[in-house]
Amino acid sequence: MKKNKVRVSFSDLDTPPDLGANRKAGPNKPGMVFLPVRERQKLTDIQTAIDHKTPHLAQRKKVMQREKLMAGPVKNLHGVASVRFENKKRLRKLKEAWNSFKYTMEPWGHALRKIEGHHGAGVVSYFVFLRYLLLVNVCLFLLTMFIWVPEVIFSSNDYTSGSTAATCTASYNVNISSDGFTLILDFFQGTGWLEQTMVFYGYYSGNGLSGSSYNLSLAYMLVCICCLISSLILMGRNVARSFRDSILNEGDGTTEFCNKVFGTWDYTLTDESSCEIKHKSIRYELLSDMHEQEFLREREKRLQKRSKKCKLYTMRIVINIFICLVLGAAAYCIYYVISFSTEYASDHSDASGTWNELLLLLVQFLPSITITVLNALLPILFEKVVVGEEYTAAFVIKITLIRTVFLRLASLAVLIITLYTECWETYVGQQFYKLIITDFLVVIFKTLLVELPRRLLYDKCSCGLMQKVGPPEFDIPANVLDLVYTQCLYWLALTFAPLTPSFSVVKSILTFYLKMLSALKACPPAEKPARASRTNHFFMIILLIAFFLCSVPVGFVFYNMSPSQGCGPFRTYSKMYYALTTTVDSWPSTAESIYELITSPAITGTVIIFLILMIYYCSTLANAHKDMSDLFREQLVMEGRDKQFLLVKLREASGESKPLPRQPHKKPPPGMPTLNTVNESTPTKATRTSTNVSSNSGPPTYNGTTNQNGNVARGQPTSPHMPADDW
Amino acid sequence: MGASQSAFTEQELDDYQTLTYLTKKEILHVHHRFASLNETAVRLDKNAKLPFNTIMELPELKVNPFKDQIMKVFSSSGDGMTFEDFLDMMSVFSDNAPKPVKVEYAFRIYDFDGDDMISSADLREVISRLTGEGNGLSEEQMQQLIDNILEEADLDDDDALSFAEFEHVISKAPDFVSSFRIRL
Repeated sequence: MKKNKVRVSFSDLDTPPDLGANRKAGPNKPGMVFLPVRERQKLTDIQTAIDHKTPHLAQRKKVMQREKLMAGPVKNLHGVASVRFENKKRLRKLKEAWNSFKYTMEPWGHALRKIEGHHGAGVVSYFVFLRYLLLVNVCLFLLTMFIWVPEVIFSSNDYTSGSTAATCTASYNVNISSDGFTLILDFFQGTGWLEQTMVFYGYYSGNGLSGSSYNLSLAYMLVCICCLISSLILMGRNVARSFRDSILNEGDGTTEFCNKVFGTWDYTLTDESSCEIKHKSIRYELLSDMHEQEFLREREKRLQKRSKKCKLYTMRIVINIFICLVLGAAAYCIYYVISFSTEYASDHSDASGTWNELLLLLVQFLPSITITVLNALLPILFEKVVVGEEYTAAFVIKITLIRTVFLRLASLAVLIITLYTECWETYVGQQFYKLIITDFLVVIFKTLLVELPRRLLYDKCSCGLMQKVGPPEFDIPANVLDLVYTQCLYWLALTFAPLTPSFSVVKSILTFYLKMLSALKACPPAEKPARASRTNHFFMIILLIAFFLCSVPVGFVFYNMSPSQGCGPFRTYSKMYYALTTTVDSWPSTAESIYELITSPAITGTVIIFLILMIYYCSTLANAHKDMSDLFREQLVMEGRDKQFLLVKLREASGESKPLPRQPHKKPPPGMPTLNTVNESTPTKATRTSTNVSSNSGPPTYNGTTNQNGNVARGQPTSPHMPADDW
Repeated sequence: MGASQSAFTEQELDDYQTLTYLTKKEILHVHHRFASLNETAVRLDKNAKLPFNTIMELPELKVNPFKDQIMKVFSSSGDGMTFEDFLDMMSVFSDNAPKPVKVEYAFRIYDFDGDDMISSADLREVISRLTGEGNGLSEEQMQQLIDNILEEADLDDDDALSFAEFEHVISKAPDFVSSFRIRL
C-alpha cells in the first residue's frame, strides 16, 4: 500500500517544473488543485521523498527544492485549514525539539555507545535494561516522597523509647549503642539507630500528624499501591513494545540461517579485536548450527526406536524430579536458616564483646548469605544436569534460565512466608534491607575482587592454569536475572521500608558504573554471541512475572495482616486496609455509595467478564491475522511460480532452446535498483497502473539524474526478456 | 561542535532534518564526525567530497566487512562521498530509520554484483566476508550453508533472493534491526 503511494507521488515529481503553479497533481489524482489540499499534498510529497525512496540525499534535496519552486506563489490558507496547518507545523516543531532534547538528555548515552563499540548490541541491552530499571526506581522514589516528606515536616514522633518498640513485638528488643563499631554494624543490619529512622515502617506515626490533616496511614497505603501500579504501567509499556517486536520478528525456526547471515553483523562495532572475535563467533555459530541440524536429524533417527525413546523420556523425568528435590531442599534450607537466625538473634540480642557481636552479625546475615549462595551455586548444577536431557542448544539455555528464575523466586517466597508467620513489620523490612545490602556487596565484591584480578592474572601471567581458566565472561542472562531479582527485593521491601527506592536509585547508579567497569576492563567480548532481540523480550516477561508474584504478598499484607499495635502508621487499625475504608466512611454519602457500587461484586464481576471477552476477541483476531499471513506467504510463492511460468513462456516465444540462466549478470544501471524491485514486488493492480502512468508522463527527469551512465531505470524493461512491469 | 555549528544556516539544517531521520543536533554531530576525517578539506568546503579511503577511516566502517559495498551504495557519484552522502548513510543507520528503509539498503549492500538479486554467488561472498579471512569453512560446509539459506528464503526456487524474498525473510530475522545501525 505504502509503496503504491510512493509510486504515485514520484510520477508527480516527474512532471517538468514548467507546469509551475498550475500543475495538476498527476493524472490519477484528479481534483488535487485546491490550495489546502495541495498544501497538504506538498507536505506528503516531501514526506514521501524523505521516506527513502530516493536513493541519495543530494537527489532528495533536489526533489525538495523542486517541490518548493513548483509550489510557486502560494496563497495563504484561511479558516480551519490554516489553523490545522499551523497546528501541524507547530506539532512537528515540538516533536523535533523533543527529539533533540531526548538526544542531549539521554542518560549515559556516551557510555552505552562505548560499551556497544566494545561488546556489540547484546551486552548493551543489559545496560539499557538497567537504565530502564533506574527510571522505574526514580518514579518509585518520587512517589514515596508522599510518605516521608510529610513525616519530616509534621514529625510528632512518639517512637523514641525502647518501651514502645517492645510492644511492637514480643521477641525483639532494641538496643541503641553509641560505639562506632556497633554503629557501622547497625548500618549493615538495619538495627539499632537505623531501626528508628524513616527507613523502616515502625518509625511512621499514625494518622494523627500533629497540626495537619494529612492522613499518613492512608497516604502510606495509597503510595504503596501506586508504586506497584506505576511499575506495572512502566513495565506494561515496555513489555508491550518488546512483545510486539518479538511477535513481528518471530523467527518460527524456519529462517534461522538467514537471520544469522543477514542479521548478525553488528554495524555498531568499532573495535578491531572485537571484530576479530565477532568473525570468529559468527563462524562458530554457523558451524554449531549446522551441527545442531545434524544432531536433530540424528536424534530423530535414533528415537524411532521405541526403547531409545523410552530411555530418553525416563531420563528427563528423573532429572526433573531431581531438580524439584533440589529446589525443595533449598527451600527447606532457607526456612531452617531463617528460623535459626531469628531464634539466635532473640536469644543473644544482648551480646557483648566484638567477637560475639560479629558472630551475631554473621548469624543475622545468614539467611541473606544462604539465599545468595544458593542462587550462585544451584544454576551451575542445573547447567550440568541439563546435558543428560538431550535438548536442543537454544532450549537448553531457556530451560536452565527458567529453572534459575524459579529457584530465585522460590527462595524469596520461602523467605516471605517464614517472615510473615512471625511478622513484625520493621523486622521484615530489616530482612529485606539486609538482602539488598548483601546483594550489593556481592556485586562490588564480584567486580572488584574477582573479575578484575582474574583478568589481570590472565593478561599478565601466562602459566597454564590461568590460561585454562580464562578471562571472566560477561554473562548477560545471569546479570539480567540479578537485576530482576534485586528489583523484586525492592518491590517487596517497599511496604515495610519505604525508603528503599532511594537506596535502589543510588544502587542502580553505582551498579551501572561497576558493571561498566566489568564490561570494559574485565571482560573481553564473548565468543558465544548474545542476541539482543530475544534476551530483551524474555527478560521483560520474567520481570513481569516476578512483579506479579511480588505484588501478591504485598496485597496480602494490606488485606489480611493485623498490624502491630505499638508502632507504624496503621497502629490504630486492626487491618491495614481499614485505613481506606474509614476514610471512605467519612465521605459524603453519595461518594460513599459510588465507592460501594464500584467495589461491589456486580461491577467487578462484570468488568472481569468484559475483560475475558476482550481477551477472547483479541486471540481470535490474532488467529485470523496469522491465517492471513500464511495466505500471503502462499501468495508470494505463487507469485514466484507465475514469474517462472512466464519466463518459460517468454523463452519459448523468443525461440531460445537452452535454459535461460537467472538474469545473467546483465548489469542494470547502478543508480536505483531497489526501486525497481520494490515496485515489481507489489504486483497489485494499482501499482501497475501507476507504473504505466509514470512511464508515460514525459521524460523521467528524476531517473535521469539518478543514473550517471544515462540509462533510464524505470519504465523500461531491465532486460530484454523481462518487462519490468509484468512480474 | 562550535565550529560546525556555523557551517550550516538554519535553513540548511531544517532541510536536512526534513530529509533525514536525524535531528539537528545529530546532524551537527554527523558533520563533526565527517569533519574529523579530513579537517582541512571540510573547512574549505563543508560538503567536500572525500575519497573512499578517507571515509573508511571512520571506526565503524574500518572494521566492517562490507565497507566497500556501503561506500558504493551510499555514494551518489561513485568515486567518493560528500557530506550529504555521509549524512544519508548515518541517517539510514540511525535508530530512527524505519525497518523497511534499512532492509532496502541492506539488500543493496548484500547484492554484490548489483543485479537486483542476491544470488548464491552473492551469498557466498557475504558468508565468507562474515566469517573472516581464512574462515575455516570447507567448500562442502559453505555449499550446505548456502543451500540452507536458499531453502529457507528462496520461495520461488530460482536459486536467488529477490527483494521481496529478502524482505520477507528479514521481517522474520529478529536481530536485523538491532544490528544494522551505527550509533551517533
